[in-house]
Amino acid sequence: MKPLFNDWKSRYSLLWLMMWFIAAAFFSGSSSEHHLADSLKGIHLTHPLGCDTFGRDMLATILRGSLTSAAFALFTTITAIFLAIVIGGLTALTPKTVQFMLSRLLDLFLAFPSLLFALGWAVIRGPGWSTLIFALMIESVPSLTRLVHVRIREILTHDYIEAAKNLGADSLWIMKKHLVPPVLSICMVKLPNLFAHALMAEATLSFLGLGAPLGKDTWGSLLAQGKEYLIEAPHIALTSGFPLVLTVLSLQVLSERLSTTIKGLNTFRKMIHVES
Amino acid sequence: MWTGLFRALSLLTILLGIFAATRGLVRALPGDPLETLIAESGTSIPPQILREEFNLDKPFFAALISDLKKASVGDFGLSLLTRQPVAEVVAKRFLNTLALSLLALIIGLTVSLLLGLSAAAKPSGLADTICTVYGGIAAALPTPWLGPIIILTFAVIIPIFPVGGNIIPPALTLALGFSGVWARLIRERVRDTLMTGSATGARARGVPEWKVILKYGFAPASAGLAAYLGTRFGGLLAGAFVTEVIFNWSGLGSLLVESVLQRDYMMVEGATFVAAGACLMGTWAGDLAQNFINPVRQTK
Repeated sequence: MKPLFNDWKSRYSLLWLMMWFIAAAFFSGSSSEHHLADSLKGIHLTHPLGCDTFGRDMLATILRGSLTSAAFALFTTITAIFLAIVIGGLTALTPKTVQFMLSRLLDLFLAFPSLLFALGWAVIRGPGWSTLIFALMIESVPSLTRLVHVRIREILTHDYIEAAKNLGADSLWIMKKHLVPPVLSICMVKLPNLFAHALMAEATLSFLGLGAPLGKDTWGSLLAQGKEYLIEAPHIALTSGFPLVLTVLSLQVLSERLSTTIKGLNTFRKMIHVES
Repeated sequence: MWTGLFRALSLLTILLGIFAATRGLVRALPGDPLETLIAESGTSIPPQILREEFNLDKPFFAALISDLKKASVGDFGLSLLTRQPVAEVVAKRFLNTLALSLLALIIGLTVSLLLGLSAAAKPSGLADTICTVYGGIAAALPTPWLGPIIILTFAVIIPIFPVGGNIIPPALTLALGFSGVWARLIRERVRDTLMTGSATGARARGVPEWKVILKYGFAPASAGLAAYLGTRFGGLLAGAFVTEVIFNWSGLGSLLVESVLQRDYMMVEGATFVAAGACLMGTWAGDLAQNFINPVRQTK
């Protein structure tokens, strides 16, 4: 097996993510006090990325906002994975009719963009974190559930499951030994991808005014501010989006590497399995 | 023929379901729907009229049937804010969205076809590398960042288009967003069909390379690609919605976002129904195109 992340692309991606995270953690306690005298000030020695409308240093504000966005994205990603494993796993053991109904229900969710569901939710409950979480769950849970469901059903048809049953293994043992590891490995491959999706969705919905509550700095709300003052202060739009793009690109690279490695791992396992 | 009829029937059922769901939005409001509606939207219309307009005095199914009757003659109610007929406003805005999406589709398809096919023709050549890099970067660019950058480019750096009202900058933004993924997809699918052996045979017979790519690579893959395009129509529409807000393009998306933020419930109901219906029609059209290109599949 090739060592993971042993090429220049993934190294730079990891480096960027770590650097950004450390910087964001360092700036998480910095003050968000307004200095209106510095409002919309451009790039300057004391403010390397300029200032925003409220005269706050752009770099510190982006770092603080990105930490909020990342915390939110991590929370929703892990919740989505948990939900997908529970729903996909439980329904894999139910009768065919229930599985058919689940599959039609997932089709229904996948047929419409999650933005539509989010708009419907926002008009009932009002914009806010709940809208964001709802939109992300609608976007990520159905496809991931399908993936988990199909994988579990595929594993259950293998001979070694039958063999384990005949050797007296109970269902808990089979689950622990044969189902959880492969399902977790798919989810781990999907994790950077889901995380990147969550970041993008947060940015988009908060930008539209449906996401993060007013006064809370996130990547999306900073992008909205950038659009508002695009002509007077283009540096806000430019600088607030750039780190997001780099982060999403890095996550893409890692996801790609991870999936090729795990795919290799799976064929490797299969080979051993066939031989023994 | 029966499958066609079955499909049309199931399509109609889902449309009815969407209609019921959008009509249920107001009833899902917390507390007494009417009171919440008045408090949230701050409307000055008397409660008695609102109760009648939203049919809140009837049970849900009775209200649904009367709404359906009205909708069948094109009456989707009146806007809470402007008192304009919802159907009229939504229809006008939807045409604008359609124009934007179609132009973006033409630009995006041209770019992704050219790039994807030339990448498939020569693995690990220049076009292949461009396709990979372009696909990766295009997927990582969030529309709320790309849009303002394009505005800045066209308004300040190369002032060709006016900032507002021109269709080309938003269409470019939208096309850039999806053409990367599509170029990669076309490359993968065409490369797969080129591997099946018929292409090697054609090359051995001396068929020119461009013809091999089109006839033995692209043509067999096109049915699957058309169906995929149909399923992605919803995503395209969602992208168009965000783009519209950025460029102040007066389409269905900007109408929906405005109406949600201003709590114009009647408008949200109508616009959501039309948007969801359009997604459904997109998937259906993709399926039809697939069957048209590859009729063998239909008889199965």
